[in-house]
Amino acid sequence: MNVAVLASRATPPATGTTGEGRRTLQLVLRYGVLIGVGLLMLYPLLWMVGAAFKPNREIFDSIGFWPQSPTLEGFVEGWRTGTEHTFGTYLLNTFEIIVPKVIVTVISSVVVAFGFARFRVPGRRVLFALLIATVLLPKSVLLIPQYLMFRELGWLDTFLPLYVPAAFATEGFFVFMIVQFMRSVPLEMEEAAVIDGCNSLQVLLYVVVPVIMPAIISVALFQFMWSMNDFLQPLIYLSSVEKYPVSLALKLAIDVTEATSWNQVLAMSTIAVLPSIVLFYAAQKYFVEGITVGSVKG
Amino acid sequence: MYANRAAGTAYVLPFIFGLAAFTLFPFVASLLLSFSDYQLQDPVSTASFVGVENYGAMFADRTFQKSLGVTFLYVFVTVPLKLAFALFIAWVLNFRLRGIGFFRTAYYLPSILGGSVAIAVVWRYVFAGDGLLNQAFEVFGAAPANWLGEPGYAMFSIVLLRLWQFGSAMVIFLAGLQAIPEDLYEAARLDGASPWRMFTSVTLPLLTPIIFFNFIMQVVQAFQEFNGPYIITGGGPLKSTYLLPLMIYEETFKYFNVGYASALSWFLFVIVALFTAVAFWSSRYWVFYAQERGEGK
Amino acid sequence: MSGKRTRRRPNRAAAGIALALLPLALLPLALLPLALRAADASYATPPPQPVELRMSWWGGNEVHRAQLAAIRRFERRHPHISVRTEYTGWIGHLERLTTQIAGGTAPDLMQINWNWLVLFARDGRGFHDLESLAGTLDLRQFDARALDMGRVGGRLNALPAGMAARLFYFNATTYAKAGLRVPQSWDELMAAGPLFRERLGPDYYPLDLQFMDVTALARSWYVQRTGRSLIDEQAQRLTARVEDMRDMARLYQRMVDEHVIPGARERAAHGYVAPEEMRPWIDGRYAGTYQWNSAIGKSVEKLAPGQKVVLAPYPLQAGARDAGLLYRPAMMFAINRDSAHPHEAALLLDFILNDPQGVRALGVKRAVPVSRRALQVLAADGLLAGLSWDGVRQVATLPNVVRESGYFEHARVRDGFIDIFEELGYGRIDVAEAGVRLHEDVNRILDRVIH
Repeated sequence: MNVAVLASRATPPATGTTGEGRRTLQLVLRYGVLIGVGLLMLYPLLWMVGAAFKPNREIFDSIGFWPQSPTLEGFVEGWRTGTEHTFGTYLLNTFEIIVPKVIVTVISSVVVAFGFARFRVPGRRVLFALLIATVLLPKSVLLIPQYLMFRELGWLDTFLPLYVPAAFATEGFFVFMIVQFMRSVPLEMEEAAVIDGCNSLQVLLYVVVPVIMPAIISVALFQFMWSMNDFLQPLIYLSSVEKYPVSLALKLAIDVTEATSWNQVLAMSTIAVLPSIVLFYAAQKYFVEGITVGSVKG
Repeated sequence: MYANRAAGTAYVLPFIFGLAAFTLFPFVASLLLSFSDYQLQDPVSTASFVGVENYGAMFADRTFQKSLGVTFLYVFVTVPLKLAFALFIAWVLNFRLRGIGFFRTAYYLPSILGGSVAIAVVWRYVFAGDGLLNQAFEVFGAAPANWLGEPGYAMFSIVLLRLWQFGSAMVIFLAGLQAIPEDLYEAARLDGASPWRMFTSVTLPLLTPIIFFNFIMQVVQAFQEFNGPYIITGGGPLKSTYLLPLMIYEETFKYFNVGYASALSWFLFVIVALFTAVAFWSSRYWVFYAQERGEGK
Repeated sequence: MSGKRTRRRPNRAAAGIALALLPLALLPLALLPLALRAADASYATPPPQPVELRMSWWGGNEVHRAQLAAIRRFERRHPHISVRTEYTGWIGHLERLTTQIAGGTAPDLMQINWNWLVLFARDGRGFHDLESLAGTLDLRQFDARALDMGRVGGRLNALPAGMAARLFYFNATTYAKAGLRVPQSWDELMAAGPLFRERLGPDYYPLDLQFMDVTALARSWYVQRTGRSLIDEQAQRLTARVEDMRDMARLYQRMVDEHVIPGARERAAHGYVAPEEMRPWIDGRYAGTYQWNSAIGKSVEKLAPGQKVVLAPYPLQAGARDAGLLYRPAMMFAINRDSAHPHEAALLLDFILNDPQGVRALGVKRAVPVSRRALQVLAADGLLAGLSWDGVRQVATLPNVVRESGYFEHARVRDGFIDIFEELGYGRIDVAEAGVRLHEDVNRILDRVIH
């Protein structure tokens, strides 16, 4: 796939007289490759959705995703779950955890990144090094000490340990990311705003944030998605079944003495994956805008 | 840069508080534990100080040596490939094609699925002895291979898993590409630059902060990869995919050897920190931040 | 600028706040009063204090439903006791339980595995002494051997909810296709290998074993030959000599060479899956399994339709004084040593294990119960049937005296065996070397883990 060809085609089309046929061919080629590779990306999801509609027996028969005897059994039984709550309860729990978590992550990451990127904070180098350092350690080793800590705080069996730390920019990954984006934005716009009399907070909110909006949206997306998949943390902090998020609920039916009804697990996995997909599709629209501030010439 | 240090400190304050309240204790505790013989089934109070015994045992441990080796292999193979993939696809998906939204979502889907059961099952189907890949090989006259059963080949299946899940890196590159102002491309075009020239002179330099970020994060995440080996191969066969995070997990929750696991974790930390430090040091030579550019070119 | 106050030395303030937030750890659930049930019938005797128990277990959907039903019945019987249930699937259960025990927040009543006793109750003081609750908990329903398996250091730490043994189950349909009967002896099993290859093709095997199963099988064979347990807990080593370990390795090698079981490479090509979810088992090509009788149900359920699994007689070597069954509790229940309500927890445990209502709710979904009363109830209901029950009856007929140490199923020990068998299976070492390694490495591990 020729990058140069793509790049040249990306510009607003020359008033299309010459090479119309060629353009169509290029279009077909491009879509062809996109679709082809896209299928490779999509196939496991297709398989999962298809398997959700299969009876349990059929699932391990073949890799074909189209069910031979389609049934809604996976969804119905899976929604009922083997517990006293429906899957809806677990979905609601998940949102109860994730929505605050994403919001506070975005706010704290942007605020703290702004401090790092734009100010000569005393001890900045040390603090930034600490920030990076927190990302480098494998998290499983922190689990037990964190558990003891939250036990002392009395936060066990609540949602607090799952999102309160995120309110304090403890996820260095996101802060680092926003810092990089901020540092790649020219200062001219902000300087102009300051000359106009804005304080730093106003500059942050009205100048910087709109410019790095794709990055901020990425932060929200990633945090949403990773939190949905997070298994170990809810496992050890939440003991009441009615508080389980989806990541725990999905594994409730997987046991060693009982045969697992995979069609149920996959049906509920499909449902669990939908919010992320929808969110991503909605969010990626912001990736089309690009920077609209053209008022500052370099 | 703004002059008001007080305001700056205020902005960074949440992080400092978070550090002190939530991060400091677990970090210090795990570091201390690495110098102890703490076993998970006993109360913490029974742990006793053993100095650097864990670290010493580590280097004599054959399994650790193997695990370290395969982890390095994994990192060195997946990071460059994944970065290249992600950048390329982000470039492709940056255009205003009709329906580009669907493609972007489709290409991001593997990352959304994460460590789901569906991936484990599909991967098995593809890489099993009688799976899709071998069937495709036979069609083309190539000899089938034992992807999951042969120690040399199993790594391939989890490398491919990681490459397949390039969505997050791609999205970040996409955001970075979006941040490059259109008028710069306009100016370059007016100057008569070819598309390739635009890529190397406009896109790449402006993208370097993001490339730098992605590079660091990919290295860190590759060193911390757990899901792939855990669900696809279980670390086998013969420990050929027994990445260090999996070993740490098993030492903690299977063998209850928390002291040793902590030592392993901190050793991993040091390695990754070294890589990161070198990367940061090298960044002054190839990463260009906007304010240091002067005139945007 | 912004109206924020800048703080001097924010670290100190933050540390102060963190310290101020260290309250007494709430015993989260023990004394939360819940709405009292209508138990205020008389004013003469004061109603019993409401108690909230916490109970945890693992299982699949059926077990969850059955257990919840049993608990609701219990709550109706004892209105002042409410039970807070904490359950998961198998994945993650041990991680969570371990974290809870490490943090002192374990539930009052817990389901545990037998091999966790050597982890959590090494000195015998890990869990509540159930014999001290003998007033509430009817221990007379359990035979001496069952009780003994829950004893550590002389104290009864846990009660078995079912016993299990590794037995031979075969796919009768595939054997019929090969024109063979299900093997009745070691020799028949060995002979079936070449016959399968000849009559059905190289894809078909009489038996399938993971390395964990190989270890158990080799042990069984060793016990049959020597009449001893494999591990001597007192001496912290194997009772076997290098020659014995080499014979065990040779047994595995022979089974592979004679096409009785699939080789390591071939087996691993199917991926890292549970044996019952491997396609060759599902479609009948791997025609046998050496499994816990309590877990055979899941293997059967996965089979493609039209196939039948039967329990085979346990192969015994000539002159064997013991069958070498790894007969031990399938799962157990223990009471938290620091539980605030051991008496109520014992009530609940007694209900689940001994009371007809509790027993009926669970049936044989978890395992065939051990309690005599439970067995009577289930027999009367006609629930004692099926492959699992067949296994229970078979065990009763076999010579079964040797008690194996719990350390045989210790994770480190088990992996020690598995790693060496794997290397043998991949041809990295030969039988002689495998014997030496098994002897040396396992002894070293035993020395380290047994205190």
